[in-house]
Amino acid sequence: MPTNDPKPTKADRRDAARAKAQALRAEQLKREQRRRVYLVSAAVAILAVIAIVVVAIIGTSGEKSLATVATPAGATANAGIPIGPDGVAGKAIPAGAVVVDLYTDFMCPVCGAFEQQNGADLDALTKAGTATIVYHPIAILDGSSNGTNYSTRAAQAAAVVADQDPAHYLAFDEALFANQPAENTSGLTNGQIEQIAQGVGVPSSVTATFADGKFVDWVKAATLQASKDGVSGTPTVKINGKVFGGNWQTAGELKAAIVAAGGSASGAASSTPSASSTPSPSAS
Amino acid sequence: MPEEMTISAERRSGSASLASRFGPAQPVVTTVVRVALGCVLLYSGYAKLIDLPASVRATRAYQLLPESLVPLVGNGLPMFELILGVLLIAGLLTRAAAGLTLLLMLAFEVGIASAWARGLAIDCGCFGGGGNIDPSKTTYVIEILRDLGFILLAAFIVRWPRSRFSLDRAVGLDPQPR
Repeated sequence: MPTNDPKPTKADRRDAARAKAQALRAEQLKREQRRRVYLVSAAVAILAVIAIVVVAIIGTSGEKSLATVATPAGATANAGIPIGPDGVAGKAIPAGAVVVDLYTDFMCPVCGAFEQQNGADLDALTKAGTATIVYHPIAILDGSSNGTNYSTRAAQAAAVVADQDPAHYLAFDEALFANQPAENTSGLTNGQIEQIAQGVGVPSSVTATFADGKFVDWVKAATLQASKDGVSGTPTVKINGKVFGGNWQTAGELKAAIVAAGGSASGAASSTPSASSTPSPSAS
Repeated sequence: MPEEMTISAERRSGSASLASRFGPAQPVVTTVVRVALGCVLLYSGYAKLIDLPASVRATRAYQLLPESLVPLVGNGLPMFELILGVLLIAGLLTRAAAGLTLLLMLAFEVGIASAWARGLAIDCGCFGGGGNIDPSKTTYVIEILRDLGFILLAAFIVRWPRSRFSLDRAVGLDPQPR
């Protein structure tokens, strides 16, 4: 079509061709770069998935279930140590009793405070037969003892005492809290734990077996079970399976709640604590 | 008028110099930000990896996932964080790693906010080293603000992913500059 535009010169055509070639090259570079990104992304993603799955498998296979581990005599199905009215551990929980589950970690300073505030009340309630206290020594603070896993060691020793010398379980539990080491220290040594046990009357033949670690797996399984039962921190107190929502720091408040549960229970209380799914804020 | 033209020219050059200073400085800033964020993720992932049962318990305590998913997330999340941390520190697939980090931090925020709203005391008391007797609101606020900070860092990297000393640059993966 006839126009008034000047005809493209040779220089113009050369420039246009060069520009087109450059554009094509840029496009090709971009495509190659995209391909590189896809390849590297795919490689990284595959390796990542493998690594994550391997760790997930290792983690899940490392978890112990209660059914498969050595269990202290008289322990409950949810890994607790019940105390009878005579103060001896491992007795069957009487039907219709008010069941108080107490979850503690021997390194937990808040549990130490709990023991100071409510220990005597709980002992009195046990002796009077008002309630059956079920102790759950768990190990959630192993990370706070400089790698020595004090929480597990102490809980394991308590399990041995429950198994071999149940008459001294309560005293040993109290003594461990009375000698509680600070968090983020190495905790008590195994020798010190044995001495404390002997100090409350546990025979040295029993304390000598602490080192065998017979119930380490039970402590691990018990800790997992506690987590499944809705225990997200320590101390946690459950009365007849329901997490105590009051303030255990107030003198007598926990005791009153336990006594009240006994009054209103009248046959409705189950002798086996059931899992509670909502942990209460004040129990931590 | 000549005076007005001088004033407006000064103003224009003032704002232009700030923007033009950011241009060359940006790769350095992104390098610092991605290495810092990477270190945070590396530490967080490693701390959980050395006590996997604790990670599983923590995941369960938030009561957001069905029990069937708890062990997978509890065991898998630490490694996921570790990998993101390594990618960010190495500067490999930087934008994608930062994007995933951002999503992860958002998920954490949702978890923390939901735990707070429901009155769950997760990091208070004796649970992995709290030791406070009263569950305190301030713990939640601090954690929410902290993760918000990480979200902003990750968003910065997503927006400006090019950086120095990165494998992306070495392997030729850098996205084209805007």
